[in-house]
Amino acid sequence: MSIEKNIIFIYPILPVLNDLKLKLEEDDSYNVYEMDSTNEYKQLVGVLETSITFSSDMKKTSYFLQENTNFLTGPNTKSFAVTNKTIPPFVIGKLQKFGLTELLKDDVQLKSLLHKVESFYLQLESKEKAEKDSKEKSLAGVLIMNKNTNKEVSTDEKQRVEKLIVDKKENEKIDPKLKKIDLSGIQIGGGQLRSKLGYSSGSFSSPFDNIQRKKVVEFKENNTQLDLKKSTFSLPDNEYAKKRNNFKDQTEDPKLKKLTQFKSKEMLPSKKKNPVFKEVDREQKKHEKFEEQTIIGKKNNKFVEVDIDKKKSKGFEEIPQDLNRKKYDFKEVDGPLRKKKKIDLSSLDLNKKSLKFEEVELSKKKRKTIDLDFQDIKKKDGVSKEEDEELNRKKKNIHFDESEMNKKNKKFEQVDIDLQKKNKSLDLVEIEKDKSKTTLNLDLDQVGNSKKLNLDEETKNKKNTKLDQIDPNQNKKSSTFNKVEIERKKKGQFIDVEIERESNWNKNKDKKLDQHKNKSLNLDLENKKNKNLNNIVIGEKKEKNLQSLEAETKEKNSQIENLLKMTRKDWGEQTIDYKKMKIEMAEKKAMLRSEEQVKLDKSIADQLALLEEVTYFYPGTFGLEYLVHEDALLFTESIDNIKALKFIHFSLIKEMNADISFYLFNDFEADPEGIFSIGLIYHGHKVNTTESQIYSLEEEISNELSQKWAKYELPTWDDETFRAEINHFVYPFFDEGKKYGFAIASFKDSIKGHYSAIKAELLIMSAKSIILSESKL
Amino acid sequence: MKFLKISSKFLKAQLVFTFDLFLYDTERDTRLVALYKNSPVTEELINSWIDIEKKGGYLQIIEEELDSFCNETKTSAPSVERLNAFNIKMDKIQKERINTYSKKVESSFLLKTFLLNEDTTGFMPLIERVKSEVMLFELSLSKEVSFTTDLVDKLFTSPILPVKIAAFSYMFAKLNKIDDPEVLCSIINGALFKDIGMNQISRSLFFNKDYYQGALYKKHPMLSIFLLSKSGFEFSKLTKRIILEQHEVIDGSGFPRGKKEDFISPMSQIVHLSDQVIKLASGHIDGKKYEVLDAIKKIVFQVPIENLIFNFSTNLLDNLKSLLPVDLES
Repeated sequence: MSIEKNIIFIYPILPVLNDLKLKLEEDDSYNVYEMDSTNEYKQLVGVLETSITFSSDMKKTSYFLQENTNFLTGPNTKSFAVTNKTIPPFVIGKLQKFGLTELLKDDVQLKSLLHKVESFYLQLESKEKAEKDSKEKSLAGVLIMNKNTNKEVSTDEKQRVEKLIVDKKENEKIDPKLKKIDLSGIQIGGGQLRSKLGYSSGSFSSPFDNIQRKKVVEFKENNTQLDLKKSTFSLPDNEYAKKRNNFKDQTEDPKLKKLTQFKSKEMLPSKKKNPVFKEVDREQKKHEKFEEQTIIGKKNNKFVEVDIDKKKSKGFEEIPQDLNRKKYDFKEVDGPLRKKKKIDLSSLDLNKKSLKFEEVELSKKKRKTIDLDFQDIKKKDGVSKEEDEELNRKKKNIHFDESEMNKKNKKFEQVDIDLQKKNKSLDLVEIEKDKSKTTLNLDLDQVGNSKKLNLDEETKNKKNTKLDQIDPNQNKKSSTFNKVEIERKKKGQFIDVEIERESNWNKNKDKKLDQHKNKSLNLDLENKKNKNLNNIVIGEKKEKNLQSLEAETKEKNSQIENLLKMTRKDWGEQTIDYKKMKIEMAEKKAMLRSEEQVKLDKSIADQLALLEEVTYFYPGTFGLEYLVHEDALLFTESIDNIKALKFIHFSLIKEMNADISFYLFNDFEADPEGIFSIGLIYHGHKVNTTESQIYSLEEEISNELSQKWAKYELPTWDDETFRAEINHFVYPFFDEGKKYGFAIASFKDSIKGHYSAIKAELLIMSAKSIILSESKL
Repeated sequence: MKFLKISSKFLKAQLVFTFDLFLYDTERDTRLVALYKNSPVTEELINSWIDIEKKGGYLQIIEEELDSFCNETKTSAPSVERLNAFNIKMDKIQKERINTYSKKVESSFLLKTFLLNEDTTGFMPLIERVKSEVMLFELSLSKEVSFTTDLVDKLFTSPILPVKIAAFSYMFAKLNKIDDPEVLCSIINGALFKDIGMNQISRSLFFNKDYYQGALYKKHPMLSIFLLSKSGFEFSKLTKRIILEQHEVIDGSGFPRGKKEDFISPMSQIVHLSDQVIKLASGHIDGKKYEVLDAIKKIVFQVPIENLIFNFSTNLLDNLKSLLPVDLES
């Protein structure tokens, strides 16, 4: 059996999860569910046995975690949240308490997510395999024990066996007709019968049947086939309901009644053909072979006394086999059962006082079911020949059936010990089966007979005393059981059914069902209804209890209906006012538009604010282009020094409206006062003499001023605050500590600050090359 | 998208504008949205903006919103323009330059074809081409780019030696797939100012061949840097490096530091190579004038001239060789 790999994505999801979804969708082994709302999720997650949930929206995540904590905290579910936001640790802790497995960042790799999914399901699969293996081993061990030794049975086992025997005896009391119907698992107008009988409620099904059923189910599980899943739960009921209707129609047809009288034999081949039974047989053949061998050996010794009536007990034990069939496929099982019912109903005789159980061999493979004893009915109908034939056939098979039944019982009990502990889920399966089985279908024809069905406490006590005498040895159990049965028959007592255990078990069932309402609400309802019938107790004392039970069931039904109302959404007819819708939509759109527009505008503004500020830089050259020109002039041989000095003068005029004159020291040492040693090489002030007397330095050179300037050893401004209208600047030319000359520049309102002063200085100092070249020092 | 500076004085409380107001923080060089459109102006906001303006920050609007701003605040456009006078002036200069030089740049220009076809003695087509291209550099790129555009505008009018070298360096740099305006401007500046330090050395020495072997000559790169530093303009490191490394040779025989191979900037080598080509062609090396192609050929084939060996990286020489016509390649 493979595990359903369910992956749930709750929208909206991040791109990583979207990739994961696409990846998983490619793999057929995964069932991918996409959920928009948490309500959908709530409905789904309860139904799924295993699931992994992925979500991105933290609000939705917290919501669904809180809503479905019960489901999500289990070992078979995981929930991952992938977010691009930073979540504080205490929030993560809370979410994990609610069932969040892990919180992942959006930069998580797709591979790691896939690994998480795969590893989770691998773990589950490996667990399941391990469980299966252990069960198989334990079963094998039981079989070996049974084969080889008759070891002493433990006290617990003894008790179990005793209980089983008691149940068998109780079953013997059950009206064979009802029992047969019970086995069929098909309701035959049960509701009508109840009302006409006057029984408020009760159960015609045997507690023993249920035990056996449970064992069989568990036994089958051990045989590796656990195909009954939740998904198949709904099928039997639907099929069953259909068949029930069909069955009614058929039984009402008088022509069919006659036909069905002869169908007891005809049923056999139909069952053989049934492929489901073949499957069952494969699993059981091994056990049966073993049993056959033992039976052959014991036939003559232990089952000599076995009477035809013993068939009843066998019949009870054959029930599990029928149930097994149902477990595999309800549809197919119902087919032959329906036929059987036709016979049963046709063979019912209202005037008949004593109903006998008869075992009918259904196939050569020793499939048996309880059937009504047709003998009396047939006699009345004039079918004596067939009766003789049937009796002969039953006698032949009876010994074999008896021993086989006992063997199986043993095995079932032992297997039951393990399985009851381990497989809780199987209870559900049982419920399902039991539901189909325990639905008693009574016909109006049975009213007369059912009056005779009384729950007699005295007979109960007798039963118990007789049961006490039963040897715990299982081989003898069936024979003693049959003895008791024979005695009872002789007394002409009708077998009554007291089903305390059955009812208790059914109650437990209901509780479990309540827990699984989400899975199969319809089934649950059906079960509840059936329960009313199952709980029918025949007897005066029980009638009161039945009434109370019925009231309880009604209450429960109403509760369930309420639950259904709560859980179901009413999607009935709705009138939609499209005009209103359009207006609302338009308003919403308008609102959205305005809101969106504001958001858009703001985002645009924010984007614009991020643009770089355009800062222009003023394209000034700081007079450096003159240095470049001068550089070119210096390397031009054709240009003499004076021309070069003129160029400097030109640059000063152009840039600062200034005049400049260059002086050289002829021999400073020879003339310490320096008055006569100063030689003018370039007189720039001549140019502007007309503009101002100050510029006419020709005379002043000989004056004290020129002598003063000649003594400056550093570049000096007359007015260092640059406020004077005419500002003189003296620049001495030094090279290696020796003064070669100086320049006097006069600026008229052109030097406004330090910046222009430097510029002027730079232009004047570029004349050094010429001064050095002209100097004769 | 351009922004216009506005003053908070233009704004009044309870006005609601149909445009966004921005706040530029000069200290942090960041812009924020001061007020989104359709939001009312409050007294508090105005006061806060005034405080920011005192610290050097200013309010801005998008240039396209000027009309709506004037209408809604009832201010005149000139008052806003006055606040943005410098930027408007720069815009005008930029636009004028684009109008003048963009057409000249439309036609393709190849240094090889120029050297083959044009009269290289003038060098003017090359100079004008370089000028046209440089004048289209944006004034907002950097201070040096703006400086260079103005320098080129003033200098690239006559084929003087430094300008020839700068123009050739520029084109050769482009040949070597250097397209960054700032780098190209550094190359031009380096080529133009590399020898200005010579004006601190006696001119009488320049025409003596021994001078070029002397220690005094080797000082001129440092002197150039000194003069540039006196200018008060902060040149880029690359420009300074080009000037300092203008005579460095890859074999370490250069000056002033004797740098080798990769320690010398490729841009410095480009300027150095261009300098050698132009100076050799103009007769500044051996006193003989050559055609530029001949000078290139001598450098490419490392023909020793006056005991001077042209030692450059093979990549540069290969690129230089590509300028030669096929018949001169061998």
